[in-house]
Amino acid sequence: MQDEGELVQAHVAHEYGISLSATRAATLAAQVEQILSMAREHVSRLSFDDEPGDFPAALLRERDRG
Amino acid sequence: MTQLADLSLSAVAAAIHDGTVSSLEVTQACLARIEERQPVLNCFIAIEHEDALAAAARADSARARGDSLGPLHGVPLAHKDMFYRAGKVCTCGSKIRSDFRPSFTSTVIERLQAAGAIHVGTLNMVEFAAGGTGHNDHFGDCLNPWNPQYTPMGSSSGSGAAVGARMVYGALGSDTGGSVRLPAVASGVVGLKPSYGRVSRYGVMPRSWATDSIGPLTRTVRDCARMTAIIAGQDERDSTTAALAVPDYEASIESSVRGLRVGVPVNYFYDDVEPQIRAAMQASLEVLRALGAKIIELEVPDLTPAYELAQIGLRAEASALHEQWLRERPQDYSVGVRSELEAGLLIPAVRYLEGQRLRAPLLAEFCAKVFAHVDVLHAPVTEGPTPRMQDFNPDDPERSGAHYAAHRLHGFMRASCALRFYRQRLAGGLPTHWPPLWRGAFVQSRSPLPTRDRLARGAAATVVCSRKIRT
Repeated sequence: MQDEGELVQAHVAHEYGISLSATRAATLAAQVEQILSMAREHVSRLSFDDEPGDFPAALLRERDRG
Repeated sequence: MTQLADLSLSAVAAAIHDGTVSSLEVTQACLARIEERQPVLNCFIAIEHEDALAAAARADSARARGDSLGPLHGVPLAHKDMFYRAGKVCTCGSKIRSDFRPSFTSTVIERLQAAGAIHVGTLNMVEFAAGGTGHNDHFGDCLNPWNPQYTPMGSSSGSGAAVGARMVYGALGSDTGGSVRLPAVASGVVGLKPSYGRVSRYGVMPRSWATDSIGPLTRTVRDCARMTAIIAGQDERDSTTAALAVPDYEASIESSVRGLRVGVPVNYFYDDVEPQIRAAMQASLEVLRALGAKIIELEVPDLTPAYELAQIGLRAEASALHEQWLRERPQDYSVGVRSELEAGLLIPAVRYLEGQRLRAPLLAEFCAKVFAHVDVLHAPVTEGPTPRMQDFNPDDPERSGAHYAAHRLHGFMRASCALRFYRQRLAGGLPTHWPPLWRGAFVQSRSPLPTRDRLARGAAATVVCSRKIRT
């Protein structure tokens, strides 16, 4: 099985046509895993009906609540 | 003549309006100051000397004819080099866009021009606004106006430094993760990040569609109120702008803060804050308390989720914007900026969308736990005093600063200004966080902040606002 750096290198080359050095790919793999692992922890807060478009309405709602 | 350059924006606008000085005199004073300080500070990417003088002459002619004068008639400004003007080069601080000439003008520039402002040049910035210091490999580093060994912070580095150095009376910057608030603190000026939806982003270089905002950097709170009132408001060319009337921010600027509920977080914001910043924050609270504000300590929701999810959104959106150039012109990015942009290529769409879906619930949670109890939140912008340029590795865009970045997901309005100097090091700043799309007023404390340094004589002011003060 390829290590994560190699996977990142292959994925970025295939999907975006961007060439990364092995070192850079390994660094990116670690960075992105860190970011995504943090995000996974928050997924449980979502409800099925939450949608991205709620945000502007939420701003107005909170404003009016004041 | 150059003392003219030391006036505030509102003072010089009044002087031009009543004929005490001409726009030409004022513009010449600014250009003289720019000529004097640009070789050291490198605030400008381009100086439009002849165009500025010609515009000033037209402004004076208009006044002589008795034309109606706008609130910034004949006042020289300059802006971060990411605000499009039709036919004018807009570099975005980059090599890639070094010869980019947009075919249209941004809404905020149109509004400032309609108010009578004069454009004297374009200001230095971090390449594509992707970083928090004054480093720029392509146009040279911008330095701190109070001590060139220190960073002006960024990414609106030139905007903060040029206003702080009295080269121009005000400047626009952009704030995605702190890029107005940090330069304001570092350069001893007032900076405002408006609520998401309050100011149009049409014709402004994008960095992150979900969190970009445009805000002014000025020398006084009144100046900030004036510029904000001019640029704010719905724009049919930017669907994210709110259909809300813009308050008269200047009208109640001298109002009392008596009874204002000022929230002081007991968690999160102070986790890594250095003692001198704590002391400065405490001193500013004592001023507010003495003026009749009610200081309320409270626990705020953990902002870590908002910060981490904002990181995902920012990276994914920035990579989507830059993907083609990352493939075709990778060598034309500085190393640090390219590194920042590449990470977003690997963010799955599902994770990105989860972050966007959580914005509204996180906003509601924060408002319920904070703004249900207080009118404003008083918290530090930075953990410590302004760093030296040499403290940063420009090839590493990652900086500390979750405090200023966390709220970008919430879309709140925030302001900051420098508090004081510490042994030649510029201090961290005093920010305030407002409820969303706030409709209150700017209030400038009548008392100076408790400091004996020169900032207290004009640049710094206590900035607060209140839901109680309706305009």
